[in-house]
Amino acid sequence: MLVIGSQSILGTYDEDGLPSAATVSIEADLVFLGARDRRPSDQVNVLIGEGSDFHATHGVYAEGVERGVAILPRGWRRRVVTWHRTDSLPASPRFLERHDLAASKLARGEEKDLRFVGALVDAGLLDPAVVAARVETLEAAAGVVAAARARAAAFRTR
Amino acid sequence: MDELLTTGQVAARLGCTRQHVVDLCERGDLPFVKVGTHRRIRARDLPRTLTDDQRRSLWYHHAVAGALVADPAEVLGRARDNLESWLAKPSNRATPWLEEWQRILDEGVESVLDVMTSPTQRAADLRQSTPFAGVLARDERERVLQQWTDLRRSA
Repeated sequence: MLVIGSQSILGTYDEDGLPSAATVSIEADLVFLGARDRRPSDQVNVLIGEGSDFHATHGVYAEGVERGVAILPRGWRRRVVTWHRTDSLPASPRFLERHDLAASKLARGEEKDLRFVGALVDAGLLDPAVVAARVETLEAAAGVVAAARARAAAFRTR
Repeated sequence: MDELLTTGQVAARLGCTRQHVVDLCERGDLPFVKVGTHRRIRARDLPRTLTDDQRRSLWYHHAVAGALVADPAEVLGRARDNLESWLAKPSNRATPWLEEWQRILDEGVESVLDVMTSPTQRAADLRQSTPFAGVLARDERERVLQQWTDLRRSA
């Protein structure tokens, strides 16, 4: 089980360790890497998804998404951050490494994504040079990589 | 900072004529601001092609909208209680979204319905941090999700 999207930053930093400007939505995107079909994702949506009792109680919810939804840099699997928690979950959740997350956000390029990456760069929690290097290895069409490259370059001059 | 687009840029993104964009502005279908004599439109106010999970969320919110129009006080009250409770949690990192929802709830039912059902980027982002949890009965919610799953499968 892999956490992608903004919430994956919590695999590296505690809530207190993050700048207040690095806000996230209340949705955590989960990918089931070994799944052959959508069933585990659909189960997540039913049990702890949007509008569920879990959502009401905790103020966060999970969304089962397909691996193909995220544009990621080559080699991301080697860099995932793994927790070995025994309390709440049966499986060890894994999280995208923070520079891979940033590169993925720059590929999307939505305003909120750029604000999120910017907040982490400004707080010194991301190395812009590493983000730029990861962007070069994004597994995406040339146009997407080019757009992400331009956004990454803008962060290096901050 | 919000990206501001010209009517020509909007036309290019929507795949229509600039005149159509002007018409949408004049009809009140597209929010705009005036910079001198020129209309400028915020990128996040444009309708956009939604991702699969955004479409599922829109589907769910249509069901919630049904509950809302049947009993606005109950549904809005539930949403307000959720927001208050979540904002108070030390683990909360979604304050701007949750506070935006508080403002929308204060604007009344029509504003809420608009955000629940609008295809704009802004509305999709707000739905992603929806306060409408625990509004539908468990079996009703599961039926709604099942309908979406079936719909997606047959598409």
